[in-house]
Amino acid sequence: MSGKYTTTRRSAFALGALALGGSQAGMGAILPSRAIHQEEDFKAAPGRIYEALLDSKQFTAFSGGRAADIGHEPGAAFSIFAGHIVGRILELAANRRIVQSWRVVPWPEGVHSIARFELMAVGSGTRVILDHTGFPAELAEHLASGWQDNYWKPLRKYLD
Amino acid sequence: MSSIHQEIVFEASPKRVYEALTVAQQFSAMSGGAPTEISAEAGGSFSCFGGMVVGRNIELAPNQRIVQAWRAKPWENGVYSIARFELKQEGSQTRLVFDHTGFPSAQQEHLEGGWKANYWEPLRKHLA
Repeated sequence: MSGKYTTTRRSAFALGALALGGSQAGMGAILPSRAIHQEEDFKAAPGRIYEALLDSKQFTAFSGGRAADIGHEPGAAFSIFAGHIVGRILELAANRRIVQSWRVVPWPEGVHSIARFELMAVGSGTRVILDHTGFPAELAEHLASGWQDNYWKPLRKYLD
Repeated sequence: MSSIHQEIVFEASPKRVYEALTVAQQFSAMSGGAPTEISAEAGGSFSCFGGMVVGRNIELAPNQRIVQAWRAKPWENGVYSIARFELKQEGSQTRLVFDHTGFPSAQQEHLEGGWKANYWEPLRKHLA
């Protein structure tokens, strides 16, 4: 299945709308914000995919041996691809949903994105629905192909 | 997917602004006494405005930066946005540079007004 991204120019209406009393309202650069939405079908059941995405050993194995350290409680930190990507678990619904704050270490300080994985049983297999939002807009294409190359393809190979 | 960028200058130090946003008692006072819980830990959860806004702290840099996974209660399950508050000292004032990304795009105008009415205006009064 193909990944796609959408782009929406934010409204200029908000900018400068906050002249509160004597305070100054800034005019930030107008940048488009983008989102990635990908749907991927796997032969494996939702439980196997959920575990592969959250279990440090399994994630390390499918990602080519690059160290993964993934906490299991909401709020816990994770580090994957040998520390290249870090974040926190925001929400877990067993075998159904994983929501993470997700950040590539070289990104500017304070910049984090949200990665949401919804797992839907389709027959005996699983449809993984990824929504990735809040990342630097110029990285949309790079990230869209990164999900394919670093998650879905190796995960499919690992599970099949 | 939409985003919001707002900058507001407060007549207070970064420390006072940071604490008003991260100390539950102060946030509650600022928001008219609404029940508030805010963890002091990165990864910890928060609940503001009597549970209408919930999420988790992603990053806390005292007096400098707050990054939250932020969701309004009625949003679809599993949907979070990123709210980033950067605090920059400007003399005796603080410039709060706010970026909100990843929320449902239909919420854009509602949220733009909401940050002003529910955060910045009450925060100005609280800090005065």
